[in-house]
Amino acid sequence: MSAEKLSVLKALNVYGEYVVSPLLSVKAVTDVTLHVNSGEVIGIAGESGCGKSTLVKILYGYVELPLRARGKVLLDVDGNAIDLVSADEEYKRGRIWWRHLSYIPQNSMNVLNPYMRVGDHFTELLKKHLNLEKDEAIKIAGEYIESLGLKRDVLKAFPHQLSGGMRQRIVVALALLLKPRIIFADEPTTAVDVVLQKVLLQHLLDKQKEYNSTLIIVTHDMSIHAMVTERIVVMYAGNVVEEAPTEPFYEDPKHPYSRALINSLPRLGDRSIRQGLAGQPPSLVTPPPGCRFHPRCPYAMDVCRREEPPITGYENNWRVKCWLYVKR
Amino acid sequence: MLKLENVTKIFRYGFLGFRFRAVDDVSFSLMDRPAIFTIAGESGSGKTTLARLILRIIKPDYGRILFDGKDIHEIDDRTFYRNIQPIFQDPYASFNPMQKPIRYLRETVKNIVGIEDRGEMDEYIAKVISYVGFDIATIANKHQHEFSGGELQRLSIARALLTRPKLIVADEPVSMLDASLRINIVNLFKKIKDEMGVSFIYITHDLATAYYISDYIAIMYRGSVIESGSAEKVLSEPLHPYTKALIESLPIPDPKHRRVWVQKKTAFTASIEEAEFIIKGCKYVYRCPYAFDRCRTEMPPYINVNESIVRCWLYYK
Repeated sequence: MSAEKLSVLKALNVYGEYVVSPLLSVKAVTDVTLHVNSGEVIGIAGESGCGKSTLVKILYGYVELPLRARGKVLLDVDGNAIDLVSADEEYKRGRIWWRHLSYIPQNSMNVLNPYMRVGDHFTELLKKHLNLEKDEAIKIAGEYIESLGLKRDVLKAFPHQLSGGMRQRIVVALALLLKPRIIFADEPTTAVDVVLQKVLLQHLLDKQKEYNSTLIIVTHDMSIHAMVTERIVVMYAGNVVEEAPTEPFYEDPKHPYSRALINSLPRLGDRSIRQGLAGQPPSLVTPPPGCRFHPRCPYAMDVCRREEPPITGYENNWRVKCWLYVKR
Repeated sequence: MLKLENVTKIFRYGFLGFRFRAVDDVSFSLMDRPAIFTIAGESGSGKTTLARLILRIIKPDYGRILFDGKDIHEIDDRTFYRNIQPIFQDPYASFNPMQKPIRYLRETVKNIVGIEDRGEMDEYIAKVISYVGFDIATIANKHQHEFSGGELQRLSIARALLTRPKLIVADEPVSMLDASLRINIVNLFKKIKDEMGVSFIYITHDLATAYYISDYIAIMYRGSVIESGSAEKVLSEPLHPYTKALIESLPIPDPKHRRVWVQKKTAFTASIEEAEFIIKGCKYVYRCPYAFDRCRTEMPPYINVNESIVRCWLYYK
């Protein structure tokens, strides 16, 4: 199945750090390599501070101080590979963002401009990227909004007149307006109730299928990954520790961290005792030597304390960064 | 032990806006036998307002709350705080960043337990905090920022336990913690209930942890308790259309359930929040697929249906 899919985005040895002072930086993302294919749904999982949001910002090409990025993020644009890390921001604004890549940020219910009517958000995008006249842009925006099952009146409202859930839907609609090839969604459904969460996720999935886009969804919520994604990338302390097809992953996660994460989740209809992890994630200013998970790992060996494990193939499309899976 | 009788709290929407009932005619009671009672609901359901009412932070406009048969507003402070203790959502806001957390623990012991001698005080604290896995020597000199969120939350549990309370009211105690730490806190609640006989009111929007630890559950919607009963019953055989919708939309951490979850489409209802707060009838009527005329005009009464209590005209005979 994956053989037919074309690679659209490649991240090669990406590093990201937040510069705090000339001598101090927080290494939020360390040496991440990731291939993104067309038409797939990828989940990036991990707990707060693991670098998942930073990784997505770098993949989207939105790197602004204090964040600094190294490595290459290659996006295929009409046969040319464009490096998003080194590309000029003007170029990305004019040519890449919204059209090829779109980004639904965290707290998306608060990102609309409070001084602009909802409709102007749409017409501005259409005018800028498709060079449309105003009348035509208004017409297209109206039709688009109706195709989503919303009333045309919504376009005349200011953001504060709409409920949080409605605003969140508008942001999703904006991100999908130009049928982008890759949609990044960073915690798209935090702070909404579960019913609305399902509505939003289903809408994203429907559109992703309709446009044959790639959806990259970032969330700490392992239940959402189980319901939505085809492939899952687990991050811990800035590293990708496991990358696997979602279904077999939940049956038998390989990395001790992934295993602990899955085992700690209570579920409806199951009262068996669950155990969490002890301790806390390491400091990203001075990460521990060796494997970053070793202080909390129940299987830690000598080598884990000394040397960083390589990321090794376990099976097809399944990679783990753990000494337990290195054959020597 | 705790009894709520028709408790109602009225708030205003905006400065000169309409008045609405943030908590509307809520009645339930907790028996003396230690139990975990969950109040579940989405944002805006009034669950935190209810917690604040029980903790005496705000006063109900109608109805009353009884603790051991006495109105909580007539109990003296010391007796009240000795018996009922809070745990809040944000562990970082629970402790003063300018003071060492140990000072807060000592103050609680001094003011409520009544131990004045420093040595005795520390001995008393050491016993309680060893229960949540801390050692007094290591925490005594630490400041708030030197603890992680999970550690601070454990510390606020320890602080609540210092007074040997009968009831702990925990408002979203784990929603700011990561999943792998969340379960540790929840397990701790269970252990405290079983070993120390403390009851909990656990306020949450997370039905999975609610099912995992609670004995009883009440589901709130727009200020009203629309369904309550044993957690097992309510969450495995939900009656109210809202409870059903909640459980149907809940994602499950197991891809085997994906097909069912994806295929069952959920309808989107546009912005009707304000209308829901002030409607005379059932507040779920705008979203309910089964709504009929009576639902629009009259709030359904509490109806007993196989051991659960539900407020829905569908079950009225």
